[in-house]
Amino acid sequence: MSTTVLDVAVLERRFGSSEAVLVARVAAGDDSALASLYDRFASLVHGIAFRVTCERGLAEEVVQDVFTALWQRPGAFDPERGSVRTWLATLAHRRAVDRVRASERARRRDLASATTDVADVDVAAEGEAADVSARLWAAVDTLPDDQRDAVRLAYAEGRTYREVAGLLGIPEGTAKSRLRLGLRKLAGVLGEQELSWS
Amino acid sequence: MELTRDQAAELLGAYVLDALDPPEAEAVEQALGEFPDLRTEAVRLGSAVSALGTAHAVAPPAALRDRVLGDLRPEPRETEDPFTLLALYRRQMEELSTVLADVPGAAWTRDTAAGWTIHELVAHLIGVEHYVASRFDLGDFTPSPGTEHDHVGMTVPTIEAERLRSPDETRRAWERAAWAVVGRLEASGGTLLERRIDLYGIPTSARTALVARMFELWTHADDVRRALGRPLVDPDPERLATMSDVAARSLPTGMTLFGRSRPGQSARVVLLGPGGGTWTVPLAPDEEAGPTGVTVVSDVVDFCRVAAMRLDPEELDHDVEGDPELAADVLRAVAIFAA
Repeated sequence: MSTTVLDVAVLERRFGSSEAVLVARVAAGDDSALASLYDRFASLVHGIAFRVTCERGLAEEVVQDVFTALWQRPGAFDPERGSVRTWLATLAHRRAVDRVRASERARRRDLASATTDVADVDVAAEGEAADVSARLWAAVDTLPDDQRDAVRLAYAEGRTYREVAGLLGIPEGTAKSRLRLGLRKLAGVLGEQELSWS
Repeated sequence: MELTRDQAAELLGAYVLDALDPPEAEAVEQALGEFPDLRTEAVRLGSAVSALGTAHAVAPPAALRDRVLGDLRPEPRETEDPFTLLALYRRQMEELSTVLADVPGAAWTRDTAAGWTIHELVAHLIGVEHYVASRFDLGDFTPSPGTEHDHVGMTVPTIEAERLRSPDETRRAWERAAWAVVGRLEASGGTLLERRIDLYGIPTSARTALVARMFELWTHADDVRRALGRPLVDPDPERLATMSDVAARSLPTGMTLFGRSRPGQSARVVLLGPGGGTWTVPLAPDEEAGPTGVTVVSDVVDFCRVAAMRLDPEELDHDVEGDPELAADVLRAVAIFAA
């Protein structure tokens, strides 16, 4: 019988994506759906956490934090604000930043080494999304130096914009606008990417 | 801390990069609620940040999976105390009562999905109230010979008698009967709900019987709405939680009545939306849940409509993992609940 495929399509249409169906199932207390989401996104969450925290133990705690949050408050997922992938990546970054800031043990790596981790990446496992991401990192490299450094410090090291200002020796207002301008350009690249897909 | 639109706009980059102090982040969130254009930009910038993260996928140690998922198990469902259950039931009666109070005089003869006119449907419910009262030893009701287990047949004499009265009298007679029964159940301090009763020849817990009646009143309220051309109304999440729980737990009985029980196997039922939940139920009575042969996922209200026989299982939007034929049997067994 082909009903399985047909039926999956029906719920996917209702919720927008198969991942969103899984989040709705988690909200209904379905732990097997949580396991499916873990299998799809644990590498993403762990990778982001590791990049920001630079510490295995902390990165694993972030994975625990993120999936616990998903289990306890699945209603926090808002499909209007992006995909499940986007939500979990956002959550991973935020929790990683929280952990780093809370951890006195956290050692900071210097600005120069901030991009080297990309080489460790299991890019193939993530397919198309990783492809987009790799291009986006290439776009980071083409940002004007001041914007690139600000974005890297905030993203990869979990620095606040005030710390970014201090480290780069610029006024806080300038740090704010560099972060915004840099991200606008990256979002533009992402937008073109989406257009080229469709 | 309150921000002007421009101040909040300046902070958007730092916000999506989690590079704000908590009070600032909170102030930006507040501003995003006020200024939709800022919200749109935040979503756009945020998607760039999350896309940056995708390049960093690194599989965590395999042992982490069990550690994370092992800690996150569903909490056992709490059973409502008898008074909560009775309050939910009362809410359902009141809802039907409100719908009936609003039926225009000429509309009482309209046909309903239950197979009767609205007037006859209410008369049928009077019969049901008398029968249910007799099950709790709260009154006498002797079904005509041959209709002792026939939910519809046993109320035919009541329907015929009520035809001679005005719809308004019938409506009030139903209210009197329904309120009398629930009043007695409440007055028992909940002890009557701890009983097992014989309902249409099936030994049933009194609680389950009450929830089955909640289903019935909801369904008939919708029947009347349909007959009047009014929109259907979903029960609130508390009532849905109670009803979906009973519908899911009735599956072993449903499979047996349907002649498709599967000893040793279980089904996982996942019902989405407020009032939903997840159940792993054996597919034969008196069994522990065995290996899961199939997972059926659907919206909780739709599922309850299938259980109430107001939605054909074939028309239910649902997702199946596992054996599709078993899933079809499970859904047919769900529909047997109302029958």
